[in-house]
Amino acid sequence: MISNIKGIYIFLDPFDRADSGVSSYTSLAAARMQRLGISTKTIKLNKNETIVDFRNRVATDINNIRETILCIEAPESLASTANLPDSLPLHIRLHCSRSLGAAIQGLPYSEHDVAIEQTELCRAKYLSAPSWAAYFTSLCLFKFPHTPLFYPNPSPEFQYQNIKKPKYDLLFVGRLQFLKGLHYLEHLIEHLPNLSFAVACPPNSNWKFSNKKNVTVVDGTSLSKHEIYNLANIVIVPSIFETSSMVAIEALAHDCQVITWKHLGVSEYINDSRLIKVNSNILDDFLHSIKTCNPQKKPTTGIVTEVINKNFDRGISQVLSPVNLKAVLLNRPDETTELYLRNLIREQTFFMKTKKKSSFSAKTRKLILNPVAFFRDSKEAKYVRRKIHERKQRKYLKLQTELFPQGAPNDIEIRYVTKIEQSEPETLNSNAPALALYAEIQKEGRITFATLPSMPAGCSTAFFYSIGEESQLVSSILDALDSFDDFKYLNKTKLNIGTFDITADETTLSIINRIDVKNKTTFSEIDTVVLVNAPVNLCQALRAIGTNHRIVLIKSTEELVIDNQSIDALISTTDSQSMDALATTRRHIKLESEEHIPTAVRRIIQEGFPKKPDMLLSLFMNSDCGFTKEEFNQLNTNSYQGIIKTKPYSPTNSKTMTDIYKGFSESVIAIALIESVYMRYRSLCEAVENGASPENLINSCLTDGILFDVQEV
Amino acid sequence: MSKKYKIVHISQTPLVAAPAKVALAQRMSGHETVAIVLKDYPINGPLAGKFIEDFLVEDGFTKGIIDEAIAKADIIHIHNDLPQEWVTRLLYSNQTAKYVYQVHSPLREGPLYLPRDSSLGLPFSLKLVVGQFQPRIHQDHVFVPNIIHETPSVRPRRKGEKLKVIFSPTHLRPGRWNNKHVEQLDTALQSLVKLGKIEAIIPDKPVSPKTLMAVRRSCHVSIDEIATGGFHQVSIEGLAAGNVTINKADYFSKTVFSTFSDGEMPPFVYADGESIASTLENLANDWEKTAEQQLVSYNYFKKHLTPIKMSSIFDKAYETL
Repeated sequence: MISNIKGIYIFLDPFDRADSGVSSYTSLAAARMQRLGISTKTIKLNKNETIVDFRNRVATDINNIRETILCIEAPESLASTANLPDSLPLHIRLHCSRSLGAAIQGLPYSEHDVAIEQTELCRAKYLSAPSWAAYFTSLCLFKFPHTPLFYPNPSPEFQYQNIKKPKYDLLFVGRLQFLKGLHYLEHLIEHLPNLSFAVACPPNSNWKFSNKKNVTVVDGTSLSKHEIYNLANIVIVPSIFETSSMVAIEALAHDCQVITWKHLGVSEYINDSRLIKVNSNILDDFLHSIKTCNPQKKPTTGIVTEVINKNFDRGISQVLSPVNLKAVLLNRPDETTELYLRNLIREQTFFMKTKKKSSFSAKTRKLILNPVAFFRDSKEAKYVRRKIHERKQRKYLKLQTELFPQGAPNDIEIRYVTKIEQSEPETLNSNAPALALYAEIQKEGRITFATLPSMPAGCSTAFFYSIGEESQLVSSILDALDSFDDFKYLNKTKLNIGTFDITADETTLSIINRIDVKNKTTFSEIDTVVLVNAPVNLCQALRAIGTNHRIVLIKSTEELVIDNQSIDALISTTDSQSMDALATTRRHIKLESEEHIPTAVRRIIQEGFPKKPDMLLSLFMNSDCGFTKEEFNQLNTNSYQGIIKTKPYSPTNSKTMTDIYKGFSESVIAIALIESVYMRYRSLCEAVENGASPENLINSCLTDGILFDVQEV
Repeated sequence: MSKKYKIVHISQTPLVAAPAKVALAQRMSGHETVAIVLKDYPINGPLAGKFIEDFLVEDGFTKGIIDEAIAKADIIHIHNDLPQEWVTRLLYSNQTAKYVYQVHSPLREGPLYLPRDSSLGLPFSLKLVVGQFQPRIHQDHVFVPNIIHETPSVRPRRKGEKLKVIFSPTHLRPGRWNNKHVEQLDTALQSLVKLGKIEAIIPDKPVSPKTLMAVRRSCHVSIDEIATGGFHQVSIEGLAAGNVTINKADYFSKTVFSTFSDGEMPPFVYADGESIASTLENLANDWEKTAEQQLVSYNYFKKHLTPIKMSSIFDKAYETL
């Protein structure tokens, strides 16, 4: 009986977020274990605490615990246990690490992170997973010393829905991300125009489908779980991958019907008509399941939740019990699904890389794995469907001509929903907000920034304009950025748009003091900040609150005063800059016409993308001293971002860095920079290549934290 | 003999005792100097009480002394930042003093984010900066050194003696220059300890500077930080203790520092995340090389970095007032 076991069970939560599956699991698991009579303690990430600080704090806190420690459980992600000694009973549970999530989406990930997570997996005394799916997919990145224990994540207590006819037909809960199956959701919305979708997601989510007639976006963080799961009878979970799916578990616990892919972890938990498992990635099957599902006909029951929780209890008992018996607590997926999961990362990487290449290999794979889908999606079938559609169109046009000889009405009402109307006031909270800007920087008051969904490195861009700004310029820029189909990072759905209304007489320090540490940290997630005709004080303030982001200023008015040191790139359509000022501008694009502004913005952002590999470029300087291949190969670009070759230089009589820059620059023979740095300081590099002293370039680079390997020759 | 002044140093927080050390060195040179700090580090934090010793903190007992020192000062030397009420108090109390501003921290990260000299509202005649990595950010400020008041000593490693390495990670903060943590260093230290190659002294809780220095003297190697490309007081303390001092200081950090030592570059041993393990292992395997490098460190400090010599750099800077 595990209730007789003396000691404390510790959970580590390195996320502590309302929308984190790990945080939800930790909270439910701790509550469940307390009901079993086991003492628990949870160590959570503090606000503004880095993961490194968290690991150190975990080690300190655990060291101060006097009771017997039964177990220290942590997700594999972020290696929270890294600073704990081997002597402690570590339990790593697979929740899908960030690296794995990135790999599944075909995105780059840090091998260093994988390595430290791997170390913890090898050190752990206990390994567990909420599903076979978690294990099979993790095998793509990790090696396991032994097969984990499989038992489900716990469920909240069952509650009946209290609305007989919910307002919406379908409910999606989660972040609007590729990993959560956003593209599948969009496909379903388009193909089910007669069904209403409620989408409960974090606030300030920019999404082009939010204005669709059959879509209502609600702020998932402002409603209780009960309110969320009373929005619809059917909850769809179309994620690319889930180790478990807290959303599905919660939905089942709130008496909803759930439709999901069969390769998601939760599909292993039960075989029950309440949980419909669709063949992996076959959207037509998903559509079919939605159309044929009628949750009103199914008996409501809490047995599903009870089974899940009982299996969780048994799983935990297996962890803590010294008896080495392993009961089967999950349904192992069939062979096709297992193969799919083992190849998931490869599939996704393949999909992302080769979607433009020849489709032959993709089609062959489809024929073997999904022959029904192959024939259904074949060109011949598509041709037939198109012909049927065209015939219908002709009939419609004929009818239109008969009914509206003057022409069909052409104004289409677009419905913008900004709040949920309450049909039963005692149950639903009707204060779902309209979609908000990323930030509104006003004349006074705190300045806050919205939390962003994760984006690939270099892609996160904020765009600020003045409330009083000529709207035509701003809207034409935004429309043009939105039209880049091959560069969607600047589309309106991806841009973080904000406004400012700042007086010129407010000091820069005053603006900075209106941004607290938490919001400074949030802002640091942005890679590029584009400002349209922003005053000096705002440019200075936004640049000063972090070291990672770049400030790009669009200057279209003659009278705008700028401080070149407070911007990383200047896009100007006016000539009011002095030569001296331009000489110190890191990157400058001068345009003849405002219509080229969007292209210039795109160019600067593309230039700033991480380069793989990030290779050295030598500047064209008048010297005989070039660089050899060995010198380039030997440079450790993790430590240095460039090489400077110089004649022997002595800083005698130098009192300030300005003195050193002057003297040192005169000794410089050759400079090479990694490409990303070259691009960032392109205007200054080009000036050097046109004969200017490298003083401004070296000054700007060093000020911004660039390190050079200086070699005296 | 240079002119002697009445000098008041003021800082909001102890800044790891840097202003107090300057004041102490100036007293050794014959100036009449006090160092005032407005408040210590947070009371429950790791640094509380450890860097406050040589400061005057204002209370009922010290207020009179502080008022008098301010009123009579020839030079009021402000460090990093000051609240507005103190600015008003200074201007009211002394209309003839020369004001000197010294910055210790980088920009675009805490605690300063922005240059403060122009926003303080004091008539600064001289702007100084700690001569390590900071000058590249505060380019028009005159370099001055951090001063270490330790008698240089060295205990060279002997044959058969295991390499003893001290690493005292300080409070971790986010930022380009504040973030000093490197995972590979932890891994290298753990691995080499497990292999029996080194003995690593890593305090698991905050220790007073004096205790740390005493321990440092018994070690052969001091590791500063190998993350940013700069270096810190720890590196200078390592030289004073006759340790092989490891950091990732770049050319420009060392060049600035060499202006305090007649152009001689400090004898730091370079290491980054990729090379730290091999650097330590090479030292561990070669006791003679370790001892030789220790002596270089010791001699460098003895020759160039004594408090009186360092105080003279401040004297030269004050001459421009």
